[in-house]
Amino acid sequence: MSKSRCRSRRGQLRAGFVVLPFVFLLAIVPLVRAAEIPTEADTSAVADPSAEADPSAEADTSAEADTSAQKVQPLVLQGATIQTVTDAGTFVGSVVIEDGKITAVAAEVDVPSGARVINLAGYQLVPGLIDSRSVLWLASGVSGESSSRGSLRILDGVDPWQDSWREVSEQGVTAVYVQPSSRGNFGGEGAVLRVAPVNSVKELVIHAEAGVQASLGITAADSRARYAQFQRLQQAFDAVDNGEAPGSLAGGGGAANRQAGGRRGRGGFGGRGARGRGGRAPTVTQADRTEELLIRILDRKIPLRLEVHHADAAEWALSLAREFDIRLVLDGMSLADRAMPKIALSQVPLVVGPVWELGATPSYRSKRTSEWLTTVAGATEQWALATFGTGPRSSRFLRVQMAAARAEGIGSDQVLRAVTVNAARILGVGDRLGTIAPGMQADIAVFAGDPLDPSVPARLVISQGEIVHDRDVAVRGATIFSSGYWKRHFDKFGGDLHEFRIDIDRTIFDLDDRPIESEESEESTASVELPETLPDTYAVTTRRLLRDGKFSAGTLFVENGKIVAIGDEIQIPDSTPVFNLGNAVVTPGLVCAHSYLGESTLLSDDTESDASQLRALDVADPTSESAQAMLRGGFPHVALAPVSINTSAGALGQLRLGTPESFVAPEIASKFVLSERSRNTDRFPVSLVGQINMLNDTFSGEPEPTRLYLPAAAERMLVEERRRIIDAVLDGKRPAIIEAVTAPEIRAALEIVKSHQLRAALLGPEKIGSLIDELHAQRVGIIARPVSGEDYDSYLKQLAAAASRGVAVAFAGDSPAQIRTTAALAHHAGMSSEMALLGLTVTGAQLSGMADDTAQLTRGGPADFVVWTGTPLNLSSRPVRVVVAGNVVGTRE
Amino acid sequence: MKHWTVLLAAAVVLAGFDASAETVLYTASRVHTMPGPSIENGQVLVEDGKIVAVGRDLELPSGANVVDLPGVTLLPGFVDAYSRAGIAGGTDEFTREVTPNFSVSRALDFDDQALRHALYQGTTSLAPTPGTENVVAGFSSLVKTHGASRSTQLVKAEGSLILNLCSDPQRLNVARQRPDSIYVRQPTNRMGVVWILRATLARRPELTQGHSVFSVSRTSYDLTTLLTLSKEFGFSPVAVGGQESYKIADRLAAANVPVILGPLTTSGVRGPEETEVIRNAAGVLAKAGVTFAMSGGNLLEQARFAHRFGLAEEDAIRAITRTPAELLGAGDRLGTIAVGRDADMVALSGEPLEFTTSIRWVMVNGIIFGEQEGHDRVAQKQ
Repeated sequence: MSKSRCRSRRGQLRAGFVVLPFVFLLAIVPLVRAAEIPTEADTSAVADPSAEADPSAEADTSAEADTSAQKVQPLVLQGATIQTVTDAGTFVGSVVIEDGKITAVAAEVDVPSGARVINLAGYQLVPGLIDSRSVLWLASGVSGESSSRGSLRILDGVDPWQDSWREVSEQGVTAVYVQPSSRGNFGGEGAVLRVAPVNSVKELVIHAEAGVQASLGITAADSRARYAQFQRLQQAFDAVDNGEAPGSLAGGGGAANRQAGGRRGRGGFGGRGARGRGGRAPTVTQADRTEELLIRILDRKIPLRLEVHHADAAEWALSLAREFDIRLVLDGMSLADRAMPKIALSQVPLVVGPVWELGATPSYRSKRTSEWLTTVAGATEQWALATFGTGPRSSRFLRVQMAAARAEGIGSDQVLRAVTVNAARILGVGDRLGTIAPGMQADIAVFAGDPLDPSVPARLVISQGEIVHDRDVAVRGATIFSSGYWKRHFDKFGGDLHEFRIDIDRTIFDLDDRPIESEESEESTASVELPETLPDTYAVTTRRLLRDGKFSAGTLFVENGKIVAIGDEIQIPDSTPVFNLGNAVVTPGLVCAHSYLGESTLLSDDTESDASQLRALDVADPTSESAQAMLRGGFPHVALAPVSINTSAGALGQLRLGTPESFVAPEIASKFVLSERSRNTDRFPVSLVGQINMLNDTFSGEPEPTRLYLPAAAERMLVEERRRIIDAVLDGKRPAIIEAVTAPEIRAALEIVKSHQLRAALLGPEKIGSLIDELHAQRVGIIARPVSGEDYDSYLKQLAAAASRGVAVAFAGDSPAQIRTTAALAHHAGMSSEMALLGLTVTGAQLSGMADDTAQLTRGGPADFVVWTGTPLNLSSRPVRVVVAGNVVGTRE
Repeated sequence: MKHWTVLLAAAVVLAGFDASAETVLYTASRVHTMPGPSIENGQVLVEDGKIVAVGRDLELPSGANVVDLPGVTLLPGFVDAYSRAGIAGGTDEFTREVTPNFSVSRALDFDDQALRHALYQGTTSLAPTPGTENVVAGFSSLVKTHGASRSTQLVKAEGSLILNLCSDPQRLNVARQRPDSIYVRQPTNRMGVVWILRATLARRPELTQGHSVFSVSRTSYDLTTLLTLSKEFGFSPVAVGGQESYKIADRLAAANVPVILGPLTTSGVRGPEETEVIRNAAGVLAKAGVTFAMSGGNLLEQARFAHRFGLAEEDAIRAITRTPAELLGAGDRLGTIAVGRDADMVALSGEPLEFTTSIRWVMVNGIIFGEQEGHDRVAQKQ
């Protein structure tokens, strides 16, 4: 009862305030113009308070876009499969773009005179993707800036001359929302920015009033601390609503009241309406800034982007929105499954992500349940998917997150809506972005295949009618002619078969990428027909069995955990149950060629830079959460490595997860580090020359003497043990995994490999451009480190170039997400799918020195395989069954 | 637009005019050959990155291009005998006091921006040298500031042995964080530096043989100690830094110890290690008959500084070209414009040591960089 009374009181107050501004407005507008703080002059809407959308600044920018685009030739994108994300649905047709806007979308359009026509038959056209929360265009350091006084305006930290946009644009992303860091409780205004080359901040801004960054208890220790933060936020709104100064939104519990009390003494606050709109010239202080923003939120001019992760905080946030009638967007929601029904009822939109962790994982995200995303998507329609990136190029992972969401079981349409129309509405630009419809701004992405597969390159990306990315890539898919699907489109628009180019490199393997008319049928074939409990003897047959990097139809005959026969025409006794998986992909258990499995602390020992005798497997925990995640993700074979803090770092060990005997071999390779990670100022070596000298001495049989004070017998044992390990590397029995990042480090590594005749792979090389031939000549492979939001595309392109010149490339990482993303984006950058798939299987096993039969489906070999909904390189596919030693393992429930 | 400018600059560098494979006759208003007197209206014939003829009214081989450079003075490419450019992964292995096996040749970084920077200042060769943290620091190398490949860029893998007979090796030891550590290193004062050096040379006398020995010594007493030790262990050192070498110029001349002066331009009255610096240090050395070179980056400015305060023009130019090349043991390839030498030259727009004179272009192995205007090059096939 008391609650409803409270609400009605607010309702009255609010009604009063809606009228009040009108009265004040007539008299005060000129005064306000003069009195406003300069930074706000161009964005805050002083005009009609009833107009919530389309503030003056927006009108300016769009007007400018119009004028600048007027000279541009009209553009017709012809014959693409258009996903309009409107009621018009998906159809094959054309889009006409004039003056930066979409003017027509239909199966048949009139081509304006003088228009440039681009034939896109077979390509997929979608609205430009929108990352509802990430980092882009921010000058270095700005992405970490936070505040609890609303004092930041992200546009002040934007550097329009950065070159980071290109990697993001190549993934079809045309708009990114950026805001102050979530470390602050009440940071200030975020903005929606273009992803296009520009020369000024003004050209960059799509919407300057897209949200105010705030957070509620995301790092608070417990519910009580979260409640204290909520109270402060509530008190601040309350104070401003009553025409008083807001208290501090930072710090501990009691401070807010005290400060608010102290400030009140200054007096002179004439109520919310008067305060915000003049009456007296505001003194420019931090408190005023907080107040200013709170007023604009209360006036529904700008939404509050409140990041919450816990269910209690989410519910309090809802009550805040109800009490003060503000526009609320909830970000995060990692641990708020319980609050979802209430959120669904409240219609408050959500921004969630990332689905896959590709970098540092905050604690609240690491505690998410496996169902968090399906819970969100199941409860509400109003959600957007974001990368929550922290690196300058993190938004390039938006499609990775889309694929991951798809793999979590969210429908393709829903995923696409989450990064187009939903994102646009939540960011307040739904009238301009997010759909393909006449009158909308021409932000368009055209892909050479499935938009939800980040390994598929973008053919064309258009921002405000301007082509910002144009790559002449062929439509993915080798079977397009036989499938009939493409043929139909092709006959309609293409005309000539010869113009329809096929990427030869991709024809072999992209069987998988052909459009599947019904995705449901594909998945059901995969999951239903292979039961969770398998008999001792059985056969599995599929049309897509991965062997030696290629897919073909085949049957696996399994008996007692071993493969007794494999091939496309093998004899199976009648009594043996045969599971026909139809179109499902079956791969060997995948290989992670270098991992810490999230245990980097356990795997660090910096006593001496010669740590040859250490073995990573001695601290392995195959039951740990990250190990199990690796297994569930389709990677039962893991080369566990010691951390790179020693120049001779120790031995990698092989894990075969999912079996009681997970430790296959404790010494499969030795790791050496020439990168700066092992340079330690407290001991030798501290320089690259020193590292090189140390390794040369070690391999020449004159290792650094130990400086530990050990009894003679213990010292002798230590020296002998080191000797034994190094001898195995010198004999070629085990590979040397050499971490080398920069060109001089790589060159030094190659010289060491050459002079000591080692079998070797380089770990994490970045500058391989000029050394690829030498790598190939010396048969040195590459174990690629995971791609990050910091990387330029050159990193992936170099991997692809090395692979295409015949250098073996495998992948390192701590999670299936990292490894598969790197492989998929390397594929996107031009690595053939055969090489990428080999890297995830046989090559990975070879480079890290695993047992010969690892990740190979061969007769007599172990029955370790994974059933997928699609190829592992398509990130929307997911492992349905992971089979180790003939049994299904790692099932979630 | 910022990135376009950078790209453009990079493109200009990469497209550096490649004249290495052809024969070109350059005619300039003046050519400072350095072996002999300068030649008015001199000519230099360059073929395959080498100088094949120098003089006046040279005979033009058939097929050669002609480049007229009116108003231009040609100098040999500058040589910096003591530099930190081009070393990857740390310039000191400071976990030890004596690191004679620290050879920078193992970790040369030819992509180092500092090399490119030096190139545009007219430096065509430099010696990447280990730092001053250790008493025996290791070996320097000698590289060109540009090269089509590693092999053409590397002049000498192992150059000079570098000693640091100065207070630098002790500097950090005083403030070491782990005095109880088993890794703690010496020395902690200047006597310790000398002691470690003496002990090392006594144990390994062969260290100073077979190559030049550079010793970073700045104060007059360190220079004196260097003279003492060189006599004691029988080696011929080159003093580097030498801020107070003017004080004992006569003794250095008598002992025939050359000096590679550290940067002459200084903002205060005190140089490194509180040395008392004077502006005409180079002039004093020249007068006393000490062989000396100049180092420390931007060599043309160093030469101008020395000239302004009393050093003759010819001496100043020699100190950044021929002398450092000879001290590095590469006089047969670098430092002079003479037949058989590498085609490394600097084209200046006028009198070399005038303030208003600018660098038109820099040539390394016959390849020209930073050519300002295309019309400078009037090429005619004969």
